[in-house]
Amino acid sequence: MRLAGAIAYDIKLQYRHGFYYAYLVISAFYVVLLRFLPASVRETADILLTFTDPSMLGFFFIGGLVLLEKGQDIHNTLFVTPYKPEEYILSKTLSLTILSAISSYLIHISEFGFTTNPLLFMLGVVLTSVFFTFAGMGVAFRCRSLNGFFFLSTMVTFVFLLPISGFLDIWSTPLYYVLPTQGSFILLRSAFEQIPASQILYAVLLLAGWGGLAFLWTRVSFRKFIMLRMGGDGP
Amino acid sequence: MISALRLLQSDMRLVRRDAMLFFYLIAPLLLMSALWFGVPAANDVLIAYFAFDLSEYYGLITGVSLLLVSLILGCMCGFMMLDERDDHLIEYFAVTPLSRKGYLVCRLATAVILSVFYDAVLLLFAAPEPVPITHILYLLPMAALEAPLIALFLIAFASNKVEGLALSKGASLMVAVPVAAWFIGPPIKYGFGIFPAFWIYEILRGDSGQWQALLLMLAGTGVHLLAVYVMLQKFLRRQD
Repeated sequence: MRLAGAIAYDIKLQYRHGFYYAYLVISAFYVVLLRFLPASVRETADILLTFTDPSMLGFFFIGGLVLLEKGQDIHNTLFVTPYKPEEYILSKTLSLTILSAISSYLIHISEFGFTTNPLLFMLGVVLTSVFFTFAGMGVAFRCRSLNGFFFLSTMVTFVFLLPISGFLDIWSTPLYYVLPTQGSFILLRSAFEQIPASQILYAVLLLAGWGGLAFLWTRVSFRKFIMLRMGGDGP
Repeated sequence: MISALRLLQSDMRLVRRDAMLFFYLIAPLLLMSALWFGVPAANDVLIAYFAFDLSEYYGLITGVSLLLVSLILGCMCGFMMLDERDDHLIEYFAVTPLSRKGYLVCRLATAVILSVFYDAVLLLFAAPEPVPITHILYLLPMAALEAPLIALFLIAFASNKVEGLALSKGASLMVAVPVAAWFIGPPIKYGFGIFPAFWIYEILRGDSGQWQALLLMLAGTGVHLLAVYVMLQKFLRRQD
């Protein structure tokens, strides 16, 4: 129950800071952009856009959210209450994932209507968003400035973005099958083509596994960089 | 003036000490090498497999890259100021001899100097299709104003870094939307003229004569200066 309340407040906060307006405009822009593209590349473009923007928006925004609260010393007061760090991490992540899902779904249906089966597509968006937001939060706990966050996060995510080259048939290696983003592409593609059930299962397990790892890492980062430095002036 | 120089000096020390700022400084170089190596290679592939000639769009690609450099530098500068606002540093600077204006001048000057340098290198060496020298000279004043404009946009409208991030999404649209004008004929396309970036794309289109290009430059620089002025007023009126 407390988690549901926390998520509702996080959404309210994000709404007030203009995230929903920003993504309304961005989604509209992508819808128009997709209209202008030739029909033959529209599906590829939809997958690529969804992957690089709405699914990763949590990763982008979490830096600001965490750093602002860090600067305002909110963590010091927040965690003397019964509110648990796990709830904090989950609430931030799930609230941003809701925005990811809404934006991706809007872009997707305004282009392809209800002709495709969006269930697995949306599952891909949600799992990708959860993974990247966890990872982004872990990075944000370690940083002090926005520029620092973007620098460190680029270093961390670069390797996860490599499967894009496989998706575009530029360069591929079986090693991609270890990366969660390979799973993202399998699920996103399933809206447009038949993909064997075993591959789908593999993608879901892969993304969920990486999501779990990212959660654990973020929790450790939280302990190390927020919990253990509370009370003092910090470094 | 002297105090602004002093802040700049300490910034330079920061760049040397801080790997991340250094990364921001090489990011435009990475973009340029992608432009230099990637675009001709992509063109070969597209012609061979899809009979699609990318070279028609070289001007557009140059424009997008040019504006991406400005976007990177503008956001870097804007994020730095947002951090400093959240840490109440701008309030401190405001009461020192540096003053609020001096602080802003110093921050924006860095963005201007860096973008003039990187944009000139991009246009001279990395553009997939050579840009005439006169056009480079016409483009530079606008390109120089683009990064500070983006930084000012962030700092003038956002009250903290979270809003700043949401706005930076809007800033990237201001650069991306006028691309549409490339595919639309006159007179409708001039409607995009309210976006400062539109005028940069127009000059790079390369189908205008010498006088027309000069006219485009004057109009574009005017639009940029007006936009900078509006954002500057908005920032200076803020109470923080």
